[in-house]
Amino acid sequence: MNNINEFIEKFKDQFIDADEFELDAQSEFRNIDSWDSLTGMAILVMIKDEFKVDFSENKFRECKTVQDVYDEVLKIS
Amino acid sequence: MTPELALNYFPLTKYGFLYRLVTIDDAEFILNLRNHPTHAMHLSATSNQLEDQVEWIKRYKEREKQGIEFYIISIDAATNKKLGLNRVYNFNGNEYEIGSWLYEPGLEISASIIGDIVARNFAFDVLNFAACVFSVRKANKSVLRYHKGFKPEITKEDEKDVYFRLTVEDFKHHQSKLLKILGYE
Repeated sequence: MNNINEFIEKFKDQFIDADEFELDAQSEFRNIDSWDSLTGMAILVMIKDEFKVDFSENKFRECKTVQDVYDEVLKIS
Repeated sequence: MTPELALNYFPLTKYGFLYRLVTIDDAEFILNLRNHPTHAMHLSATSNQLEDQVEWIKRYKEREKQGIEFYIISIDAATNKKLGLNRVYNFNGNEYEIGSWLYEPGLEISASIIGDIVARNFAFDVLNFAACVFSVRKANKSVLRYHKGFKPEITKEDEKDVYFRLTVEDFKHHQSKLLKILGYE
């Protein structure tokens, strides 16, 4: 998956109310109302399944936006 | 398994968290968590009176002494801050039920996930159960998605809930993936 738009879609799909908000690369995902630790875990599992890499929780903690996450995933994949 | 074996398993420090069995001193923490307006909305209703919670814990401690229920509190080992709860109960043959999974809002990912993993490992490895049964409210989509990741068997569904049975083998398989992702393996 080299396309940021595809990544944003898959990222957004991990939120339980994915149909109810807009998400773009600059979205600060922790500010989304439905954000919780299980959503974070779902995102990390998605990254593992799609990119076959272990994106650590520590690294994830440093990311504020979807773009931040995508950039880091590309670095390690 | 003797109750002493289980009771001697705690306190346990693992993955940077301290796990011990609940005492009446935890009543206020439990009450606040269980009465959180949004975070606890999918839990069964509970009294919001502290004295009722204290009495519940006193009755629970009797069940714990008999080795038929274990209510585990998770604490940040570095700061001593109470984080959340997990409970294993309703032991029936080679199956146990897990529930009361409730953590402070706003924590990092690992606290609640590791708490769930530690509680289930305790039940599988120390109490020697072969399967875990549990139910999840259909409206609790986040928790539902998490549990489905373990590929449990769906044993029943009704209007409100989905009922699951998860074998130790399936649990260990997905647990390994989660621990690796969280950087613990």
